[in-house]
Amino acid sequence: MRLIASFGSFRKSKSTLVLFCIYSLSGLGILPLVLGDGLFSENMFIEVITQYPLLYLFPALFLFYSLISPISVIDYERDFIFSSPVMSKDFFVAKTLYDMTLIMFILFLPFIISFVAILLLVKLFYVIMFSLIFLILAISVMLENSFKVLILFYSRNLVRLLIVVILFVFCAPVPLAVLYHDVPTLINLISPIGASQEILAGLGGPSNLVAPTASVLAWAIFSIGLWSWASQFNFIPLAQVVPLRAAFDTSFRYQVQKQRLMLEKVGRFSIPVSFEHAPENKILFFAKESIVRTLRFGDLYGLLLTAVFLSLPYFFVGDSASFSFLQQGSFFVLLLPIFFPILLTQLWITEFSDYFWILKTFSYEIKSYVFGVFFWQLLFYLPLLAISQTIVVIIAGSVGFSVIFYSLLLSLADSAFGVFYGVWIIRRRSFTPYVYMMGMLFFVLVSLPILIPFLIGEMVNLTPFLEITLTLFSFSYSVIATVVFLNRAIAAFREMEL
Amino acid sequence: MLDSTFEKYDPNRATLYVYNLWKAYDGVPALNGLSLYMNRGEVLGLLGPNGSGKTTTIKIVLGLLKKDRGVVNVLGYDIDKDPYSYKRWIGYVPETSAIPEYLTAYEFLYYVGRIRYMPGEALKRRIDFLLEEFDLSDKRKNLVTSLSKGMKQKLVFSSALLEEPKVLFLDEPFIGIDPEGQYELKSMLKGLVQEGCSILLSTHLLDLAERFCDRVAIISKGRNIVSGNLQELKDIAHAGKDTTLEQLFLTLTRESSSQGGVELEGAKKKGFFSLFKR
Repeated sequence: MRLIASFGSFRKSKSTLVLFCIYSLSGLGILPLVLGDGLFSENMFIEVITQYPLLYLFPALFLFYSLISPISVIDYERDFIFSSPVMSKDFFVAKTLYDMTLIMFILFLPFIISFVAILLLVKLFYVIMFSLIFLILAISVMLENSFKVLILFYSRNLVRLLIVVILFVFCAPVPLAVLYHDVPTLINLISPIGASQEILAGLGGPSNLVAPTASVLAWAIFSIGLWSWASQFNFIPLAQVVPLRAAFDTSFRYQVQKQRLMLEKVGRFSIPVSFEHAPENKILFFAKESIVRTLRFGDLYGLLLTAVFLSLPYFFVGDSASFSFLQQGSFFVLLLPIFFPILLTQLWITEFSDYFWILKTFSYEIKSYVFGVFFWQLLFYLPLLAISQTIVVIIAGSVGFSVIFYSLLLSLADSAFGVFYGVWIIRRRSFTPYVYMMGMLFFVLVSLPILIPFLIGEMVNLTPFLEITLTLFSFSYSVIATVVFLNRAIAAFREMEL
Repeated sequence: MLDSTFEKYDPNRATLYVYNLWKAYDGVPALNGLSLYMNRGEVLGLLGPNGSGKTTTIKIVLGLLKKDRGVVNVLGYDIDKDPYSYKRWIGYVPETSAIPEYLTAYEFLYYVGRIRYMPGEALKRRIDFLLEEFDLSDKRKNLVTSLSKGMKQKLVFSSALLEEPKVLFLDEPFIGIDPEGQYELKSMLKGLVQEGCSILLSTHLLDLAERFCDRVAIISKGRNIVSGNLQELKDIAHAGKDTTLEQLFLTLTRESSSQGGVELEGAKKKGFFSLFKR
């Protein structure tokens, strides 16, 4: 029933299905890159799949979830299932199976469609590899669900301590792998991921497979035992009620519910900032209000996480790729002014869309509001530019001044477009995947007249005249785009019906 | 249609004048030539079945929706010619009180006060007074998300009263407020009316309208069926003296629903590129 409800968004809109297909086929897009870069050798492939920190990240994330919240139920489950004679054990089993299905569906669908479909036909090796990956995910999900129940019945601190210990053991090989690229076998064996890696490495040579296989099996038995034990507890009266998390559901209803939950959970941990006093200047006043909103919803953590995700490939594959550190760093720095306005705009419209009536009813400072939101986007982006550029300078050992200049131009044009795009969505009063996809496409299109001159400058040795011409063109475009988008946003805001 | 709307209209006393108001959503008519007026120091009840156009009327008057046709005049300001000046003198309590949940009770009132250009010290004093008056002083540092539905509604009322409005628009304002809270609110509103404030009250609660409103306008299918005080309505409907507003309302709206609506050509959904058109 939960699966039906979770995938119900596919029935609601055809564009949801389109988004899903694009996501699923994105794996096929990765494949030529892998093949093209010559990564399709067996050893390289194993290395990429098994050493990449993402593989550790997901199990760690599931365990971390059990640290911060107990087992949850959806509101209709509480009202209809728990008021019927369904036993908590049956519900627990169903929930674990649901979690496994959803997680494997969401995380691995692109890989299943591309890698698995093609590679399973090639070698038994890949069957073992993917089986081990799925087994580790199953272990993580069972541990997560077990701890989420146990934390309700035993000392919270004791259970949390146990989770931290297991989290530490799970991820023990990570720091060594990152720092030394070589992990001692013993350390690998205590982690199920490390042990799986040992099994895969052992398949190709004379290594001993007994110890790593025993380690993985021990983890599987431990997680099943813990899970069986947790299933005996009647957690129904203590479960936390949450809104339905629907796959690929980009609707306002879902986004707003999610934000509300974030506010309740993360709000109390946010950086303390008061809105009882605000600058007299109206633009700064609205910018401060937006900052308060961003901090209290915990968006700052999300934005930082996104920055980390965007930068991870740079740190982990930078030294083995054919591009220089500075070139890769430039790419990473230039991604941010495109991605961040998209994210900030989506946060703005989902968190503030219900409250536009206040501005429309009482204020005639629409211009200040639009500029305030624009300024807020820049305020969030500029420190990030400084940090990311510093990281690149530290790693690459040189400063890319043109990157700083072009990313500033990008941030101006994309932030202004973000405000305009936000107003457009509010006018539509719907946030379907179609709107979402079109927005992303337009953000990229808006960026192209700045990105292309930059890339030309990087790849071709230009005469000073051409270089100045391209720079002037990008600069003029950025200023004109900023002015046009902000003005259109103000006009559209005035015309907006609520 | 029984039309006695402007028989006693006095432009010198009117704070709200709505004439021949039309509005359609994607071709579906919501208002079909609605007309009404409200005097200074008067409570006008706006009654009608679901979907009759009450909220649409209020939203058009507030500038939240664009009208297709008609004249709207608030406190002497034609909202087509001057869409902003009158807003300084109005208060609004919406049907669903969506207020920023990431702000505290105090911060929300501060936000509304600042966008209404209230000066700093006066605003702070007014916020303190309203929080005290609505029994929310101990919640001033609480996030709105942690407040009960009734408390949120009181907070919205406080925001509507921040600048001592001359006209108040209340859309189903008492939903979610406990009886004691309702009583206090009504007392406060009566006090405001005595000081000259006009209140347009949209409600389904007919007994409330009967006791609280000086006049009522009953609307159905986007047009007014009848307006006046209770006695005038009884005279119009040829009802007996013991007839309640509820009985009058049911009789008049059923009569009206037997008449057909008007189909209008509506505006098409606006696409992305339409935003670039002047």
